[in-house]
Amino acid sequence: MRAATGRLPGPMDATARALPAPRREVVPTSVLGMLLLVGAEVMFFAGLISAFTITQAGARPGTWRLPSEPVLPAAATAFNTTALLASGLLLVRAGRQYRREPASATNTVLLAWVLGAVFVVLQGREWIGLLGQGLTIRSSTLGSFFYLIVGAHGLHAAGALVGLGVAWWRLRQGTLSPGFLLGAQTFWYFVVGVWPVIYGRVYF
Amino acid sequence: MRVVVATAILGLAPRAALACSACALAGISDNAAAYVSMSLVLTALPLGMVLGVATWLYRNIRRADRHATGSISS
Repeated sequence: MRAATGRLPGPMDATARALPAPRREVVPTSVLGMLLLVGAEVMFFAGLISAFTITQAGARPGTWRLPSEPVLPAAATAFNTTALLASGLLLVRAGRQYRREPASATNTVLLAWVLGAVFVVLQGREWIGLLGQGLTIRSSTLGSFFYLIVGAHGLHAAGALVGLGVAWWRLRQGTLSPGFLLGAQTFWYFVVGVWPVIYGRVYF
Repeated sequence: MRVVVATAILGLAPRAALACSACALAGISDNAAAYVSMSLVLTALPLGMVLGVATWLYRNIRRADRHATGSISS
């Protein structure tokens, strides 16, 4: 192809054409991938909560209750919820610290992880209490929904804790990439953000 | 002939034809509001998420463009 100046194209022009256009990363690939996963997960939980809501609305009076108590332990779970929300806020702070000085975020990420672990452990303790009261996955429709929805969230929280733990370890070693931290943050924000919806819908 | 009779019966007594298994409780409980609200949520949620991500990407691209223009001019 002839250049606009009228001269014949030289070998340098061919090299320039062969080079790909410079690419710029508008959004880290890890975050975009995580957002796609989170979108699918949001619809998964929306489906479960939708089924729960419709079944609860259609339940015969007096059948939507625990074997020994009329309601789920919402007050005790409020503490777990506070721990999880605090963990999310701490991770926001850790992200800001990481952008300024990566090493300064180490303790904040660890504290966020510990609060997340506290949530999972206390949820497990609550399950043991409910199983002791006779609420099993087969005892009632409420029990089935409760263990399915809250259990699915617990599994997600445990998985997110693994990711956050790896992020903390790499941060400590000085090998953490911003993309990995953002991916772990995105998933943890999903775990934190979906919980108040589950808590408000299932426990009350 | 059977089809005509069946259609006539269903036409005269539509309440007996609860073909939808999920609608079995329609007559004994007031869960219509739950159906409607959850249908709205499940319809709006994916659209809202796609719109939100698209807006976020658009803003990031605009911001990157501004940075690129700023670095070239300076």
